[in-house]
Amino acid sequence: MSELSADRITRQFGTKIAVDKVSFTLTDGVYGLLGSNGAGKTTLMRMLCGLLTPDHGEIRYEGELIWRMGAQYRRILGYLPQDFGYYPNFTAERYLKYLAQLKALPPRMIPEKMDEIWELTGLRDARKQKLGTFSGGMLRRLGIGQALLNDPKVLILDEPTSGLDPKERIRFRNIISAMGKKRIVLLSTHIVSDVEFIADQIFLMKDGGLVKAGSLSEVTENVRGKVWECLVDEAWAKRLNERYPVSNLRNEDGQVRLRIISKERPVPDAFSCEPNLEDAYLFYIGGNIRKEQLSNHIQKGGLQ
Amino acid sequence: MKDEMEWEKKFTGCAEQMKIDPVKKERALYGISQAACAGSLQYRPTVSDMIKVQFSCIPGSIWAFQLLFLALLPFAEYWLQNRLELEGWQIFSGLSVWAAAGSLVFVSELARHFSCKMAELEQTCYLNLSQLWLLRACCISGLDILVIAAFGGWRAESYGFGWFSFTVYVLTPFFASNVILIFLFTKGRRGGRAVWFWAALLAGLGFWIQAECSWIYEAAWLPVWLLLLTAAIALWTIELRAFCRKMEGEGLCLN
Repeated sequence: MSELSADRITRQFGTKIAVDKVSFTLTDGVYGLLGSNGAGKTTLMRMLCGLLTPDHGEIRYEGELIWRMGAQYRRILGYLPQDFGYYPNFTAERYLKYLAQLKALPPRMIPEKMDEIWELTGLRDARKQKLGTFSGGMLRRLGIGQALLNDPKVLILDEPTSGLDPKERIRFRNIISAMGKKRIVLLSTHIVSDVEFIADQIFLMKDGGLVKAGSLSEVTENVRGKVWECLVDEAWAKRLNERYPVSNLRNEDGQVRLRIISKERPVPDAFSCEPNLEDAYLFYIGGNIRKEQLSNHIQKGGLQ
Repeated sequence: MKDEMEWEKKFTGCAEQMKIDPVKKERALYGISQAACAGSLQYRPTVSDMIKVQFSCIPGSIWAFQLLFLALLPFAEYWLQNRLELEGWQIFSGLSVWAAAGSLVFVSELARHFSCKMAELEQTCYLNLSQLWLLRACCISGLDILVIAAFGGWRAESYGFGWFSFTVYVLTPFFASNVILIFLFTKGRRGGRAVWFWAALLAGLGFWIQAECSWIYEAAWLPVWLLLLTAAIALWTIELRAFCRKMEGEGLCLN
C-alpha cells in the first residue's frame, strides 16, 4: 500500500497565503478535494505533483521527500492539470505515444498500453484525428487517459469530469472509483455529487486550510440536525435566503421549497432532514450555492 | 573431457535425488515473475533512446526550417562573396550571423511548450520539461555545430585558413549570440529597455569588430578567439543550467 503524506505544507504567493499549514496522510483510495475558487486546491495539487515547492513543510512518498525522489516520484505519478494543454497539430495517437515516451514506458509496452487507453476513453475511432479538431469532452477524456498511461501509484486529477457529458461523467466516475483500490487518487472538483459518489475520504478546503476531512458520514455528522426544509412564499424565501445559507430551492405551486442550513429552526413549520455533502459544504465553507440564482429568479418574478 | 562427463553424471544423479518442494517452487516462481514485472516498469531510457525520442517529437516544421537554414549556408556565402563583394574575412561575420539565426529556431521551440500549455504536464513526466528542453537544445545546437564544422572543412582552404581556425571564427559569434538570446529570453524579459539596449549595443559592437578589423584574424589572435569561444560555451552552459534549475524550482511560470 502506498503512502503520501504532507506535513504542515504552506505556500505563499506575494502576500496571499494559498495553502496554509496543511497536513494529511493518503493511502490507497479515492480522496475528494472540495472548496470554492481560490481556496488553494490547485496549489495543493501542484505541490503534491512536485510542480511547486512548499515554502514550509514537507511532502513524502513512502517516507521519502518527493523533491529528493525527483524522477523516481514522477515515474509513479499521473497528473491531469486543470488547464489541460495539447499540441493541436498532433494526432491523439501521436500525443499519447509522445507522453508515453516522456513517462519512460518500455517501448514494447506502449502499443498495449495505448490500446487500453483507447478502450477506456472510447477514443479509438478518433485516434488518427488531430487534437485541434477535438471537442472539450474528448480532450478531457484524453487527459484522463494520459494520466493513466504509466499505471501511476499516485493519481492527481484536477477537475477531471468538467466538460464531460452526464453519461461520460458517470463512466469516468466509476473508472476513477475502481482505480482507487490499488492507488492513491486525489481529485478536485466543483461537482459535489462526483465526490459524494466516489470519494472514500473528503477534504474541504477554505482560505488555504483544511476545514474538515473524513468520510462522507464523518463530514456530514456535524451538520446533522442543522438542515431544514420549509415551504414559504417568495417574499419569505428572499428574506430567509439573505439570513441563512440555502443549499437548494424548488418552486412548488407558486411557493418556494428551501433547504436551509441553520443551528436553530429557521421558521416554525420547517422540518429537519438528513444532511448531504452539499449541506456539509455550505456549513463548513459558507456562502450560498443558490443565492445568485434565487435573487435572479425572484427579480424575474418567480422561479422557473 | 572425461572429467566433465563424470561431473555431469554426478550432477544429474544429485539433481534426481533432490526433492522439489512445490510450495517453495511456486513461491520462487511468483517472486521471479514479480521481479520481472518490476523490471519492466523500471525501464530506464538510455541517452540515445531519449535523443531518438526528441528527434521524433520535434515537429516537422521546426526541422524543415532548421535544415533549410543550414542548407542555405553555402548560398549565403555565395551571396556575400559575389553579390556584396566582401573580403574573405568579412564573410565570416555574415556567416556567423547566419549561424546565430539558427538559435531562433530553438528558442521558438521552447516557446511552443508554453504557448500550447503543455509545460505543466510535461514537467510532471519522468523525462521532465527541463531535461526535455536541455536535450532539444543540445540536439539542435549539436546539429548546427556539426554542419558549421563540416562547412568549415569544405570551404576553409579557399579563404586561406585552416579548418580549425575557420570553425572557431564562425562558432564564436554563434555561441555569443546564443548567450545573448537566452539572456534576453530569461532575465531580459523583466529587465526593461536598458537591458535590451545594452544587449543590442554589445551584439552590434561584436559584429562591427568582426566585420571591420581584419587584424583579429591573424594567427596571433587565435588564442584570444579560443578563449572567447570557451567563455561563450561556458556562459551558454551556465545559462542552460540556470534555466533548467529555474524550471525545477518553478521560477518560470508554467502555463
